[in-house]
Amino acid sequence: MSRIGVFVCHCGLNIAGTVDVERVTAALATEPGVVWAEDYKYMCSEPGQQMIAQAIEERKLDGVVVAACSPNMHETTFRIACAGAGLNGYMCEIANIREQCSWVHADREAATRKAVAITRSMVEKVRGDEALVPIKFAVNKRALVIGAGISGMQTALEIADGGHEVVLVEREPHIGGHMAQLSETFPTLDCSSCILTPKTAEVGRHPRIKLLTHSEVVEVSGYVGSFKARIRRNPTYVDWGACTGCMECMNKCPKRVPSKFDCGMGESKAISVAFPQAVPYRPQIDRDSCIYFATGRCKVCERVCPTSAIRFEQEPEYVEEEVGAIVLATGYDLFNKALVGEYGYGQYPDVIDGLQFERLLSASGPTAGAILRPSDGKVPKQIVFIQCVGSRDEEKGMPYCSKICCMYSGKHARLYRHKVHDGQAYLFYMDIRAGGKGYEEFIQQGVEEDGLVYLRGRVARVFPEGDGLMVWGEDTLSGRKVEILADMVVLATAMVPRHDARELAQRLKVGTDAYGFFSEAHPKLRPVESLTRGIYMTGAAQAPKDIPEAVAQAGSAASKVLALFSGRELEHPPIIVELIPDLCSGCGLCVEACTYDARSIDPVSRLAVVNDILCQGCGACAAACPNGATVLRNASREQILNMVEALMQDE
Amino acid sequence: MSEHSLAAVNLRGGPSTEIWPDLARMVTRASGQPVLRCYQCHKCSSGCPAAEFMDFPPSQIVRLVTYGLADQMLSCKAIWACTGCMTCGLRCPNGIEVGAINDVFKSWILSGKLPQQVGDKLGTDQAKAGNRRAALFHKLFLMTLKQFGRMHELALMGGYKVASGDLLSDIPVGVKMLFKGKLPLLPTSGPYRREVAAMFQRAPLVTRRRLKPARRLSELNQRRQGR
Amino acid sequence: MVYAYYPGCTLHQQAAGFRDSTAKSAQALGIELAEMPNWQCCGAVYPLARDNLFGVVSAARNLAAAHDLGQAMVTICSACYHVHKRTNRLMATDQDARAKLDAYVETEYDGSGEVLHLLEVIRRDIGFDALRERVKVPLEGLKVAGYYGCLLLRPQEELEFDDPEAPRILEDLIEGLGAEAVTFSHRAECCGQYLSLSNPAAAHRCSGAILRSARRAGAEVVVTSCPLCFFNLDEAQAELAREDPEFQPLPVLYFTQLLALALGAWEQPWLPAEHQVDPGPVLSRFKLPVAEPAGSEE
Repeated sequence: MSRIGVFVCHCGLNIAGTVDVERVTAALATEPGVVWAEDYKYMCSEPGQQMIAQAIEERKLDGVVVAACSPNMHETTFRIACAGAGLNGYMCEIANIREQCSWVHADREAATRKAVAITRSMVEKVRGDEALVPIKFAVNKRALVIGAGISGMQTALEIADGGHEVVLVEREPHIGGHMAQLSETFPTLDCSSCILTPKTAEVGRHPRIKLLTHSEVVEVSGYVGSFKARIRRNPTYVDWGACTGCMECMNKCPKRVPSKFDCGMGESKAISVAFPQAVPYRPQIDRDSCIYFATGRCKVCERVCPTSAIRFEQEPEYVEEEVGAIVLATGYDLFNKALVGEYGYGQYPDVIDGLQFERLLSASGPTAGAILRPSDGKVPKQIVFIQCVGSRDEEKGMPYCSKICCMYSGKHARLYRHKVHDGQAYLFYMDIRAGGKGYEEFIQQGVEEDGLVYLRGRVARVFPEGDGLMVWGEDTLSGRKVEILADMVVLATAMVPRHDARELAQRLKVGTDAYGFFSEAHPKLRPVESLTRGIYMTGAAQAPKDIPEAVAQAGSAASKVLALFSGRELEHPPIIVELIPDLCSGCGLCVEACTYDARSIDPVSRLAVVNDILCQGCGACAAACPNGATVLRNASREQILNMVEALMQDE
Repeated sequence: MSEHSLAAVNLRGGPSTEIWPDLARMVTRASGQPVLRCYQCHKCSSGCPAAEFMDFPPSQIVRLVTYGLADQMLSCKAIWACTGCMTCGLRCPNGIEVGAINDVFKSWILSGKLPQQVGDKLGTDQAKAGNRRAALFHKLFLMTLKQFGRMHELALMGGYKVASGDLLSDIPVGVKMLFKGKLPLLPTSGPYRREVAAMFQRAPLVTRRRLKPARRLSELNQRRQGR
Repeated sequence: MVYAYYPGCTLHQQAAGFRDSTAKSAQALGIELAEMPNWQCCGAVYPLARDNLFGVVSAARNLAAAHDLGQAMVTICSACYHVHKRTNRLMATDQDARAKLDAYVETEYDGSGEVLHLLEVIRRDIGFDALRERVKVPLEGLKVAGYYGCLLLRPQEELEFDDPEAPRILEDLIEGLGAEAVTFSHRAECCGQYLSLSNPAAAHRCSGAILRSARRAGAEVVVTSCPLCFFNLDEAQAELAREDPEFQPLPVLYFTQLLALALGAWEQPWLPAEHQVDPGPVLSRFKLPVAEPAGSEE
């Protein structure tokens, strides 16, 4: 005979305001099998949990029903409370009389009757429950980090420092991401490379970081604790082991190409290393520009290489890495200014975007740090900075704010003024978002000390006028139209996810939002986790953010991974499906029904199989199975039918 | 749509105003434009070719509509100075076409049917004069069409001159055009004249949405055959 | 293929040069334009407010008539193109509006007909590159500024005529005729439209900015497709010259006048009556190579 205890929560007025909780308690007290029933104002509180523990001990309960809020909130709380008192946690069920009752009805009488019915049905469920034990499984304490920008590198370093091996995959031939392209960083105006290179150097030499650059993750299978990643190492056409980094190849290469690292503002060669501090400092051949690949002639690099490291015949190489956790840190791109018609569709050479301006500012950039007009190499005396290009723009498809542009536009304008003392900087803005530490002061300093002119209003048009660029805007605060003949215009274009982020997300079964940013499990409380256990995210790939936030998130993601790796084994909730082999006909409907790839047909026995760890206990296959061979634990057909009867009892 | 209303905000000082709390909603429905999305970036005003001749440039029009300041809208120069060039709608990041909002006010004024009563006389004399001329032009354009079925500029311009009392300006231009044969004395004619006149007569039916669709078509056809 | 040609009111009034040059050009190009019988005024403006169906009734009638003829409608006036194309789209996409307009105009038209601008017809049926071969009077060295105005380009989602921020169709035509296309900053800015009546000073400012911008870019002549733009740009120049002695007048033409000239279809396609600024000094140097005039004379 069951000995079930029912505990009804008031939840302040959330439940008690609509449902007569005393009546519910009284009704349940007379249910067969229920030996104890009481109510309390806040069951989830410590006294509330104490009540349950006490009742379990004193009344020798073998099942508990807590009628309260959604199991999403406190199922874990109550299960642990029961376990603490010696009752298996899976003998504790939640009757949701808040989200599914008191919060959605107004009629007190009807709501109370419904609450009784719901609780009654959960009593039926508990009656059929079995004590379950979490499934333990092995965890491979190696991590995969995809993307080696500042956030990815930081994650890798922290996991590696925590004692575990990290495979760090990066698409570019070098690490450092966009931060390597920056000149100085706000609000300190620290030289970006100066603060970045200690990290890149550390990553390069860390004994526990396996660095795979010029590589991409093409396939991932498995589950938390045992992922298998297939990584394609794209050919660099140079044997990096033999290469000494002398760069004679780059010096002598006859083919000039626009430099990708310099965002087209400068030139590079068909064989090149992106910048002097690149880690690894090894060259790669761009197949599309190389003369040899196009015509079969040249091969100058091969001739001049002192260690014969050039390998034109190199093919993509595939490696398999087994890891227990994955962190996505693929970063961002900038919205393409060639899509902005009112500012010239990318046709005016002196209209550039933020990253291009960074390359002009940078001492290692195409102009050695001098601000010069791309069109004629002259020093611009009037620069207009336009904020919110693409951002906060419903029509262009990016209604969000890109967060960093107010700060970096201010930074650009200030650095320009430091370099060109008789230059004038105008910034068109809508609002100034300077919420970080020292940010507002930075902007104010720009206005007070560097003479920046801020004009509130969006620019309608930029068009060429003589040698310059006419900018039509308005200063909304005075209501006057403004016309500026600028020498150069810098667009603060929106931050967008990488163009193939969605594809990667699909491969990993991670969600993305409407714009392609990776979806976190909860925007407030779980910002670095995805809904797939074992896969985490960090940095601008999740949402626009600045460097301090990217670094902080990296630490958070790393700590999640370290927590995952901290025990001997991992635990998986035991509410999964079980197979009754005698009833299985091998029809495969369960395989089709499963969205988690947890079902398959064994090729030898021709019977269905369950992968315990991939199974999320959704029950779809149990519903699909025509023979009833698949059973969801603690949710058998009898239990469910009994629950339905209990719900319909008074109807 | 939420019951957002800047109209509930008490505007301190300034001229006494007629506030219609529902104005934003009325205008949104009549114009099809998402008026409440505006965050005052003024990209519209910056690109508007007529803004310098307006008492309220496009961004301010949207703002005043949100405030419910109906009488300022109905008496201003701005709505009549709008050329309908649609540059504002092209550029607005929220897809708001301010010309459509201006059209709503103009059609309320020209039809003489305001959705709500307005208190005392509207606007300053100057604005009134300019508006009157523009409104007059609209009326006369339609009258000419109604009469002739096609545009007859001599009639239009003549009528406009007489009705606006502005007899003397443009006469040299007009005379030159007349002698150059650019202003035919007589209008062209054809069966379309009758049809257009008939359309004008039926106008109230359409504007009052009394005419029901397809169901009535057969009735109309029958009636036509019987004529 | 025969097109239902919709001339629009002004072509029979003050824009006769537009009318005649269109007829001659179309003939030279082999484009059959049959004037629609019984057409009526399109209303000239497309009502931007949503609750005003009456403003498009006239256009709806014309569209239904063209559809009944089984022909695509071709216009050359920007305003007529704008009104008809948008009304057509309204009838195709808005069931409620279509039902009301059909009931009112007593047709069953569903918006499936085509509304084309002559430029689109040339682009589609002949091609601007192929146009070169038909040119008998190449306009070598003539710097022509294509002025689009508003109504051809906006709203782009409905008209789909060309890119509203960087249009090309007039430049392609001009280059196809052997002339040099000059792009200038104000080629899609409003000319002032009816402000020329209610606020002439305002209209002059708009037109002045456009003309000055074209001049600065090196233009010798401006072409347009809208009779009102033509009127504003042409008419304003006397006053502009009075206000500013440095103002250099710039002749304005309809694009079909340039077309007729280049095709050798009309020796002197500018009617002195129509122009305040005489295009003669700029254009008279372009003549047919042989003394014999091609095509029909006026």
